[in-house]
Amino acid sequence: MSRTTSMTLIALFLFALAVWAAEAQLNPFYLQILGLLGINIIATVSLNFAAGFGGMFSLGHPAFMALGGYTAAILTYPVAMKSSRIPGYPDWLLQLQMPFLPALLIGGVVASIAAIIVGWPVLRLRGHYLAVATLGLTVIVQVAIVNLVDYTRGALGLSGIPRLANLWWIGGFLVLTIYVVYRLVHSRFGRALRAVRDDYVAAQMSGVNVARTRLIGFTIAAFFGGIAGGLLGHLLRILTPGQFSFNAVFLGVAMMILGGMGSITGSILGAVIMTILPQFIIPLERGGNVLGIEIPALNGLTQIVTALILIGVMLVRPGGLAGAREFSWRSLFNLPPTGRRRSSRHGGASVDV
Amino acid sequence: MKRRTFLVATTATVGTAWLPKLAGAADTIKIGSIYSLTGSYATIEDPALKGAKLAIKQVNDGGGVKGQKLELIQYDGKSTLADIANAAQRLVHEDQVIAIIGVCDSGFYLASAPIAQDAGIPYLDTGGTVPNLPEQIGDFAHMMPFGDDYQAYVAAEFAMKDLGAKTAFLLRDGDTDYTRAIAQFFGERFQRDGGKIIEESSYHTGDTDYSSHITKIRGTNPAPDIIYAAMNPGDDATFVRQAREAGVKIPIIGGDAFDNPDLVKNAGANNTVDVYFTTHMAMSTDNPVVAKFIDTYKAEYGVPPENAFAGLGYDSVNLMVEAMNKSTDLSSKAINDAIFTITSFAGVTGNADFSNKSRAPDKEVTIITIKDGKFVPIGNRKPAA
Repeated sequence: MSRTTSMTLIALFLFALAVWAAEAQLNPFYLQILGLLGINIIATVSLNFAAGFGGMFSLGHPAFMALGGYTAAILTYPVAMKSSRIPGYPDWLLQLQMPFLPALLIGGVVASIAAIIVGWPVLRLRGHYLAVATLGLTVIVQVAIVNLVDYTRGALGLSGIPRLANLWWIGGFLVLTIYVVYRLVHSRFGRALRAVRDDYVAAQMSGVNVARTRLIGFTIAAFFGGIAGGLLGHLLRILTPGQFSFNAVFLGVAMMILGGMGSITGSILGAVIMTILPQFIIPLERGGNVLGIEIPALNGLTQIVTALILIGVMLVRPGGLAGAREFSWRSLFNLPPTGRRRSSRHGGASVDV
Repeated sequence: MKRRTFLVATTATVGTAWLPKLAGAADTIKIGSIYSLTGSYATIEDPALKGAKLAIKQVNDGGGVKGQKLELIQYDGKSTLADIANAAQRLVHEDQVIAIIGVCDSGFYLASAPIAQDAGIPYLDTGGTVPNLPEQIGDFAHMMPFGDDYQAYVAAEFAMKDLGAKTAFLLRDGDTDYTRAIAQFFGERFQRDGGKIIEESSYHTGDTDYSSHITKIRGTNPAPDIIYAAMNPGDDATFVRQAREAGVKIPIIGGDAFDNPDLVKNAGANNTVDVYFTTHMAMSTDNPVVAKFIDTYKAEYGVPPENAFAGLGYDSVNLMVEAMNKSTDLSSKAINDAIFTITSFAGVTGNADFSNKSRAPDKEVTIITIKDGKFVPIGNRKPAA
């Protein structure tokens, strides 16, 4: 076993220990914040896989999250409440209550199928056109959820979802998402994906099936987006169309750009900053007495500070905090580049948007 | 930035296992509140918070509750579900409040109420009007406003008795639960009492052109006696103006969404003749309780209450205070039990009975008409059984 592999295993063990300690010690408030953080990381890493590594600047990620979320929630929804709250489904589905794992995976698959259907025509578009078309998908899914009242409870939201997502589930899928995306990026497929991103024509000339590569990348990203949606619904116990609106689009893109397009490390960093930082600012918003000093209520402070950070980072580091680089044990401990992979560094992300 | 720095920054952010808490005064009764002061719900939830703060101030000036002062711990819901759920977690587990008031949207309430229910803390919904909200959550969930069934039933009975209507045209916003609900409840009661819904029409939130619906109304023969407009704020003014300008003079009846100053401003005083709506309170001065509320609100904030949600926020605090006064001790459980024993709460949004089996308070609905651009109350009513 190489030194870096053992360090990765130690890190995984410490991560599991941290999850165990958090579940045992922290109160539900902290657990919820950490849960949201994990879900945001899964969503941002998967979005980055399509947009940063694949050059498909998709604004449709919230739509995939919504599809995965609603699908999983409908499958785990208590049978006793199903027929009164979401009566539109056929009887066999109303009588069905699934365990969490298959429900989540089916949610991911439904999101993937939607990605294939939409991606088939849309991925022929590039740049702005792709962004606008996928934004259209987000709008369509949201309007559909609002109007299919018998299937989704409409604008009121599907409440009463069992709280099945804890830090074990979220942490597990977090590790899985990062592992899969990392392995894919550094595989033959990942190199093809990046080649298509960097030069469409050159990739095609080198024998890369451009359309197929893009569609597969888009579908995998949608799958993990769907998983993130499923986890979100089972953490907050409610799903509403408002959760998957323009705001969600912008928040996801902000996390990705803040960290760096084309960097898994960056996505994690972006999600951490955008999720955790506001929690420190929120108590200050309502004003009051801090160490004997009266401060007035500052509504919207959180939004202003996060926006300023985003602007500041874009001015100083236009490529995001991590740029297109990745965390690695070798660079951390200044180890000499050995083994088959000489460096985890690869070309910078460039997206024609 | 060096890669090493990333790691340090990440560890510092994640590893910091504390979040700053503002020190509260000792020996106060902590009540939590969640109102959205930013985002799309700010226009209705900001007045609600102002009303709540005014009530807290008045109670504290009067000596507090059982010798202790009240402390309101408020978080901005940011009109976002996750933020509202986080705020509820923070109030329950970090600030350890004994009761919570807040939100003017049923979806927001459903997102935050299970957290209070699980912890056994009473949580009073300030403005969400889906009638079975408390039943969906449990015994620690309560509503300050009447349910949508009440206001739509009262509107239907008013249309038939006072306006002599036999036929109605239903226009509803098909996108929101609130408008679907009041349209459905109105139709049920109107038809039960022998009226006839001639035609229904659906629009989308934010539509700016109602000519197709107006053509439909003009095309019905015989013309309907009234139009029931289950619409959202903003859309109502546009529709009323376009209908009147197209020569449709039939009375228009709306729900509590009509209760906003923009209705007359955007539709024009000439166009709001024969417009009626049901709401939580009349900002008129003949009721001494309401008059006092309006005067003190003006003195505190320099403006009269923006809408009925200010009154609902004010009543939310006062109901909790009444429950605390009736309760044997200041535990969350005792306060919750006391809420069920309140049979005549004299609030600015009307008298309310919280012993109601259906769990939404049994409460009067205020009917208002518009004369010369001013809201004029017609009366307070409860629906017939």
